[in-house]
Amino acid sequence: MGNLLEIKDLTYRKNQKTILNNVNLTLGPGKIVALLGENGAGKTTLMRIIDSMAKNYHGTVMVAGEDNEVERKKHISFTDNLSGFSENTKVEQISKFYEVIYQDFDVNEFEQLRGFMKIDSEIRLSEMSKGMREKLVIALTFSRKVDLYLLDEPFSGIDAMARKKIINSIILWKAKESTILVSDHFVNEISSMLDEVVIIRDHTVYEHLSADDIRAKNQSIEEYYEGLYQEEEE
Amino acid sequence: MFGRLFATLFTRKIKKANYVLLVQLIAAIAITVLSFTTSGHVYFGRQDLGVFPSFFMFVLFFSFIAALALYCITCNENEAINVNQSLRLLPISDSKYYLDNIFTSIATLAYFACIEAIGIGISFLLAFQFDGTFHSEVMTSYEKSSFVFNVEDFIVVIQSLILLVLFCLLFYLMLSFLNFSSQAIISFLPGSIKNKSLLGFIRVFLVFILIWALVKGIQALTPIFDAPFAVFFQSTSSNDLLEPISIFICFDLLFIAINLFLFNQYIEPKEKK
Repeated sequence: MGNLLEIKDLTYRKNQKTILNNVNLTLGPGKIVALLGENGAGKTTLMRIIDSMAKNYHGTVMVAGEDNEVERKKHISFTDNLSGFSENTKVEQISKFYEVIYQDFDVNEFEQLRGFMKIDSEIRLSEMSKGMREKLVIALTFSRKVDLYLLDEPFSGIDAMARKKIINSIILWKAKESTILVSDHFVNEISSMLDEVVIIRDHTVYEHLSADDIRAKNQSIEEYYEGLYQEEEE
Repeated sequence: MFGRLFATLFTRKIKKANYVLLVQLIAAIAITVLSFTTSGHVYFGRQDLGVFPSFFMFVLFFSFIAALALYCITCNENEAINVNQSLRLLPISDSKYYLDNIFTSIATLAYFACIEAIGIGISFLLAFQFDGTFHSEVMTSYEKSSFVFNVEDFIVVIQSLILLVLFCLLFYLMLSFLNFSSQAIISFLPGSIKNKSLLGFIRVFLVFILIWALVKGIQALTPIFDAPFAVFFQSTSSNDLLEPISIFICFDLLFIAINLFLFNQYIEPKEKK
């Protein structure tokens, strides 16, 4: 199989400001890739462009060989903010919505993940903490059987213990050929599962390295990432 | 996907229509009960009405307010759905998504009108059946009117309904147009303008300019759209409304085309963390 994600010469400007400039990125299947960068570097924008949420960009974005926006969306599961649901909506209703709308949604998988995350199906969104919501979003995202998972800071509100448990289990939830692109600030916690690291800096892909290459230099991914910014400060 | 999204949005919107209907029913019952428990009378002109005719009158009165309220709710809902990330993630083209959204609102209005008609019909029948004075008044009025419902009247009623639907659609479309175009212009302004009040002021200013341009545009386009149809539709009582219907169709199609372009090019779903 060829590349799962191919981004060529991607430039995105909004409000006379360049958010992404000449981004080129290629990801293969079956990888877990960290998307790292400072706040406002353009990580979320890049994910939104991949999933056809952001408009008016220049360049090519192909997912599983498809550049058509609708076809691309079929191959992607993106961590949603659940803004489409009223606060009164129960978890059970959200699962039902996913089941009706997404043909690739696996209800049994969702039930298993819901059990793992200890989320009651009768609970309403208004009754959930930030961490619980994020657990629900992760469960919904991984219950879809797709080629590419885009996880945009999925663990920020989840407590340390649960976060560890989820990160360790992620590898079990995805199909062998599926790729995960995850942006997160807890670099050390996700580093053990990573295959590749993509760093966004100065509005473009600054580095795209294999995690093993970084580890081979006797450096942890966190040390390497922090090192990039220390160099700049010095 | 078009059908599945239509069903989802329609279910969501009729839920709101049902709330409006419920509030209307409660308001009509409450005001009827209150009127009879406090003053003991409800007057319509110089007519002292009984309980059931009063209830019928209140149902009828509140139906106009409820229709207006639902229309405003659907206008707001349309614009909220247009930028809803959870729904925009669905694998459907932006054009189909927008059309699904607008047409489910029209379908919701149709559903609402049907339930209203049934409700008004039931309250009328209750008054007609259980209030002797009302019964005889209705019968007398009916006999005096010598009203005969023929095919021509039926056509006029159908044409009026079509015109109403086209008008509702046009208003939805114009609202989207103002929202989309002002948002598109705002996205070209420098990002250094961070003051939300200033941005809000600029947006309101833009909307006013766009409304002015819209009015001028409609004034200029109406005779152009009207000219070909005026030749076809010679005025008779049964096709009086065909000309405005044709003009409304032209404007609806024009705004659909403009809105689809703007929606596809500039309208991104809201990013909410």
